[in-house]
Amino acid sequence: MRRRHLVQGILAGLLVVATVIGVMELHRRQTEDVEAVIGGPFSMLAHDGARVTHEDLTGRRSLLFFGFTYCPDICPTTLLQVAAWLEAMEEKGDLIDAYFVTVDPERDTVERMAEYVTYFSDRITGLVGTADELRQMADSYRLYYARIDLDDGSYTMDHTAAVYLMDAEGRFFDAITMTASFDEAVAKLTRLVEDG
Amino acid sequence: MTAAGRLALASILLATSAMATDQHVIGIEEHWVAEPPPGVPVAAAYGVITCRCITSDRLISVAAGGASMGEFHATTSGDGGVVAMRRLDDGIEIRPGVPLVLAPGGLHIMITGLEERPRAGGGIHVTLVFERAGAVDVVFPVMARPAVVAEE
Repeated sequence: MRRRHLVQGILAGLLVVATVIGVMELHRRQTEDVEAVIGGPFSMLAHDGARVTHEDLTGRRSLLFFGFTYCPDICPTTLLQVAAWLEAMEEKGDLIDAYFVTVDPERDTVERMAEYVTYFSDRITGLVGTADELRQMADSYRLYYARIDLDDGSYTMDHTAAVYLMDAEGRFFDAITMTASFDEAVAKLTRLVEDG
Repeated sequence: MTAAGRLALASILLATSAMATDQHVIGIEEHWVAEPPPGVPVAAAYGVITCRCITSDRLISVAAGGASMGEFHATTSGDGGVVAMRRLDDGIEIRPGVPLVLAPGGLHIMITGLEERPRAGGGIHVTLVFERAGAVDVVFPVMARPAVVAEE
């Protein structure tokens, strides 16, 4: 009787271990897949009225991040960070095109975007698309965004806030997350200029 | 319980609550509102809130002059760089002696529906309501967001 319990216990233990390994492997594969497929077709209007598409990323190093002008905290924080990173890189920073893409085309017109982006920096280009153009870009960049309604009838947006670095072929090179330090971010951007 | 007993108990309870109030002091320091960019009727307020108290308190609501509403938000980061702004519907707990830090990229008070754009150098009247301490009125100075600098 006791031996049967022992065998059952061992089998149950093995099952748990196998499941954990399986889940970890699945997570690893998914992570790799996502990184391999970030990037692709998009077409939007820049805040100066020019059209910018994925073809404009070719031959240049680029940095893209997403947000919206009514965003009170993380977007202004990120805009100022990006401007500071590029500033710290001096002339190397000029080799990187920085794009801030709105996830809120309902409120963010090209005019609003122009006022907004230039308030923070002259090194960042704001991009505005139609709802369909945003959807296409979201598919290409595996971007998550969702409208959250507030009690006073207005709304806010949840969104992916990582900064994507794209190489000279327009392919995903690396990402800078919110938790990265100033030096880590500048190191990644320097690597993008040198190796990307 | 006799009438005298009830009276005695009531006076003990009164004395206890008065004592708790005396020792329950909310401090608000380093508070500021970030000047919003032109055309944006939304602003974020930051600061450090402390409770010199024995039992925890809770920041439960906020009202700001010239705005339709204020809410508490946490910028949270999950897997793969997905960052969300989560509304904290139950408010924010403030534990005795543990400073509550509201700072860019983390916890903040979101003020929406501003009628006029707050400008750096000005101030916004903010009423913070705590579960135990009640309403606390503070003027938050408006400041431009500081430029980001490299860490030492």
